[in-house]
Amino acid sequence: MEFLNPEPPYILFKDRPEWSDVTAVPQDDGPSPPLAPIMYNDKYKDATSYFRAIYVSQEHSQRVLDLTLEIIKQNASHYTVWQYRYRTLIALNSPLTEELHLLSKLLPTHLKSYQAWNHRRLLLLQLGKKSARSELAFAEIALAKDAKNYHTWVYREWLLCNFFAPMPFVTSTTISPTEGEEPTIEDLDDEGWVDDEVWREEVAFTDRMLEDDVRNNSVWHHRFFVLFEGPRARPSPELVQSEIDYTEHKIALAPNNASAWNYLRGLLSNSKTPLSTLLPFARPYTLPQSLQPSLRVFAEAEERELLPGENAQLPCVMALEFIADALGEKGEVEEANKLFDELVERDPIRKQFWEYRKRTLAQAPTAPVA
Amino acid sequence: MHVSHCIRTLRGLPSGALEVDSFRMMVAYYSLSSLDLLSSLDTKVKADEKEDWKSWIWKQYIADEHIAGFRGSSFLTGPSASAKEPPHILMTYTALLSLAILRDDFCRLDRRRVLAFLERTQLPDGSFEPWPGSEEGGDIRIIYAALATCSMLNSWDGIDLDKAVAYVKACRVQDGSYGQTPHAEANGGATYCAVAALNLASHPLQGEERDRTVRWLVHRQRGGFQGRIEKEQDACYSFWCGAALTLLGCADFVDRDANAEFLMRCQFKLGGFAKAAGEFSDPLHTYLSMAALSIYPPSWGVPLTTIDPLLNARTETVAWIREKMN
Repeated sequence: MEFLNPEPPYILFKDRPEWSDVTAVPQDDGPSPPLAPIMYNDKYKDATSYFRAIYVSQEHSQRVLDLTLEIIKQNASHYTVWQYRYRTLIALNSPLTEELHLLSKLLPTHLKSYQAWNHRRLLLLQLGKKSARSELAFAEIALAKDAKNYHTWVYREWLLCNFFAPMPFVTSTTISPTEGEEPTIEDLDDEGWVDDEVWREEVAFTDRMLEDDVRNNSVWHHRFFVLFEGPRARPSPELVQSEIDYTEHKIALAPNNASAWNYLRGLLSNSKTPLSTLLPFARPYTLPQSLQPSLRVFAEAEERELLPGENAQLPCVMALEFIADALGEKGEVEEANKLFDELVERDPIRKQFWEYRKRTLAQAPTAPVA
Repeated sequence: MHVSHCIRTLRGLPSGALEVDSFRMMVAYYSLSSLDLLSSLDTKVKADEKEDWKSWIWKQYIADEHIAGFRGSSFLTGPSASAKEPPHILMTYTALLSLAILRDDFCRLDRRRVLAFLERTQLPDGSFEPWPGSEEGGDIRIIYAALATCSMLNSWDGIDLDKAVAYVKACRVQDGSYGQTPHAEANGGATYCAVAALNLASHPLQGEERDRTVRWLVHRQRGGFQGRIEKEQDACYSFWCGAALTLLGCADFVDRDANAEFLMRCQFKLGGFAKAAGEFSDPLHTYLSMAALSIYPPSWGVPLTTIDPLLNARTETVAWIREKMN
């Protein structure tokens, strides 16, 4: 296909013989000076003039695919052109896997285009579940380019909910794999077992992503979604405990990581576990580095292995707040207030907020903010 | 310098701005509202030019026998109009604000049909699609714009408010913030839209729910504000997070001087504000930076008028809408 090869010199649509039967429709921006007019270049002016023409005649043809692609390359936010392209693909019964490949080539330069991702979603709805698994791999490649791209994460979560969580999930009809016989995706397509594997793999995927960047909150959010809030989440006290352990290790690695502390609070809040449960873990992070050696001496005896590293910036503000909230929750107002005082000093940008927390704690000592 | 930058934007955008071709109405609103906050529309723009601008906005008004609203620009319009050009919710919201900024009397507006347009775009899950038949689905930004439009029209007829509120609640994250769609990671923009939408729908956050949201927002300040946990600061979040805090009655928690110092560094040498220091300015960051400075003027003061953080326009402009739509 011609549009896959960007090498030949660009020919305006008005000079393309296959378009000679179409009369271009120039834009009419009104008689008076317009607001925020764009100094269009000739290429865009030419292509959009032909688009206006076919938009009126409602032509759906191969040449319309060429035309819409040219416009999208110049303006990936042109939602009408995207939709028209999609409808043309459907009208022509075009091979949608080819469109998917084309989009894979375009997307890396348009990762922030809402329309490009929406187009992909529409294609997947047509292609169905058999294409969805390789899409998870595609999303991972896209994340390698921009690990916090909002659209990519939303797309990934959509894939999981839409294709790997058929409702209702009935365990009694689920076929378990028999020894030595790996079921293929095809013959177990509608079975929960394969779906479960996808969701399990999702957790491993967040492990990999956190290895790369332990502060990436998109990953932490995704992990919480998969394990606790998504359609296949199966929260249990054991899971909460193993996730607490996991997060504590990550905090030991980088104590001033708001994403990890937020995840930890999420675990406690979701399982209605009091913050004070983790006082022994959090306490060392509120002490200065100078006191850490003496803590390490006792660490072994107390079976505390998760002390902050020697290069950690301490005391950690997030730990101070955590302890303050935990003490407030227990009604130990005076002790909590000492920590809020320290927060006023160490986190002065939120001075008014810490003062407010102190005041409200004095009024209602059992109001936790997990 | 900011004044001439905004006027330049309204008079013409470079060819590099192709991506806003279908959203010119929003760009116009950012620049008009910037000039409004700078009190410069009466002093720096001639009456004739403002009339031209008004006519252009009205030219984007689409009405058929059932629905009415505004499109983003004439990107589909030829000399003989025969193409179907649907109105867009975000463009309708920004067009109404822009007309109010230009003190239009709204005589030409068919409020009943605009409501019918909103009604038609509401989806079964309570959200709104940006335009009828868009196949795009809804998100929390569009809910906000739809409800803000209802508020301006002073009517909620045909809108299923309970469903809209339920959708907003489905976007809530356990830490009190909001994502753009259900299950999505939270960000400051979505959290503003949620807080504002709940206020518009007379379902303001309360009690412990409110406390959590406040805590999340307060923690986004680093100087300026970041939009997500552990991300870089970005000028627009000074507005999104700052305005949300004001709507929650917690303006005191913002360190105004630290915020203003960050925004001052985002100013571009040829005018306007960029998302961060050293980047190019753009109309969105220019307006939202000024709007944030207007809500949170630093101790050394800024020459900006006050703003209504709920509808996101100058206080007098919102008063004008309320009066005309009464």
